[in-house]
Amino acid sequence: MQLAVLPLLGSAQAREIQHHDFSDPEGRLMAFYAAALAVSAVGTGTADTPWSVSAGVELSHIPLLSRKQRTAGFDKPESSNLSPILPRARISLSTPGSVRVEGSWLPPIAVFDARANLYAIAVSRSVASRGPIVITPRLAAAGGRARGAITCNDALLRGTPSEQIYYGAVCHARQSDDLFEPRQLSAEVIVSRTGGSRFVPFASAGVRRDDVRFDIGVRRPDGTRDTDHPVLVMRATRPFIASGVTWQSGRTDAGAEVYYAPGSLLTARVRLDLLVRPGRGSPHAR
Amino acid sequence: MLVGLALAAAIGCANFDSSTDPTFGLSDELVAAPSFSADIQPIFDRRCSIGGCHSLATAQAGLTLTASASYESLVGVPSSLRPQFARVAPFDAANSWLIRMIGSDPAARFGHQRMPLASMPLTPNQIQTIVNWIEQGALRN
Repeated sequence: MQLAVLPLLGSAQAREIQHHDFSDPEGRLMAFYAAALAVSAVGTGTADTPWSVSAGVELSHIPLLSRKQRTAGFDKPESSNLSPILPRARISLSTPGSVRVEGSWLPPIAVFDARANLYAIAVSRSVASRGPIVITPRLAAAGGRARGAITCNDALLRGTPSEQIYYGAVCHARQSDDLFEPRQLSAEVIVSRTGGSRFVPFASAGVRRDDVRFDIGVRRPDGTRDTDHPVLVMRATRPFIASGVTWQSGRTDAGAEVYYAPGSLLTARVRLDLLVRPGRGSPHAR
Repeated sequence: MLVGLALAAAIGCANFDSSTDPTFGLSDELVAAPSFSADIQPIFDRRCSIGGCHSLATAQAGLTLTASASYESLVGVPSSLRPQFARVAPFDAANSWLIRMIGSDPAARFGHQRMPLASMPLTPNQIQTIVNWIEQGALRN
């Protein structure tokens, strides 16, 4: 385990910054949630007719972690099973030149025990096709934050005597306001097979650069943040693969995929889009 | 394919195990003649003086174990929980409150929770290294 500690300058009280590798227990946990929140195509990434606009929603499954998996470096488990689902609004625009621009946003609403404000943008363009096979590179960037009571959760009061004392003494008997801030860049290549069917299978492989910050938000009795606790940072470049299928009918475009990030998670995502503005030449244009 | 998707949703899982390291990245060597700065303080740094515990800012139980303050906070200083015991009594590890609090015997701690709180205990070698340091006079070496 490599651990570097640096002071964070510029804050009211110096915060300690701990840098963790992907291989650290803390790094593994942060990488898991980075992978869970990563934005993926859940589709072929191919453009529709120019200036067409689609909008919809995506649901990602966030697997629950065991107590052991949530124990990152300390015996006290982190209360990170805040939500099993990550919903996202999505919108996409196809432009001339067969470029598809996608945006997604999870507004700051409560989803189970978490509140997140996550956004992403992606650009893709099909560059080659051979018969029914289409190859589409895609670049994506994502950022934002998720917040919840992860370090200090009143679930500790139902834990061991040590955890109960920890909640009173270290957590000041208050739930923490932890901030998880993933910043991500990803590049992938999507291969899809069109064959005249409404169902189009696809598979993709890529790499994702994670720059993840976890701000431990223990709160003092007066409600202010206890700056005695560090900020954890994890930076890593990790591969991922996905495979799924899209289905089109009329103005409806749905997709589902299995997403696998080695060393982090295996999960499933589904997407449902509606064509809200047909492009030039679209059979749906009036 | 659809069956595969449904299966993945059903068995969606984390693809890692927490690699718990009982040494917390520290040496697990039993040191016969320990040095305070080289062998004892690193244990305090990694396991005790972390945020919210025995750091300068928090100083739980009035005890600070950061490098700048640990020796003065420990050696010959009465415990705030059991003042009849010194936190570290040179040449007398058995009656040093520090050893009682990190040891496995609840009776020796008078029912107080074992330290580090809500975390794995120090390894037997780490505890014995601290015992050796105290039994050799708890020198500031």
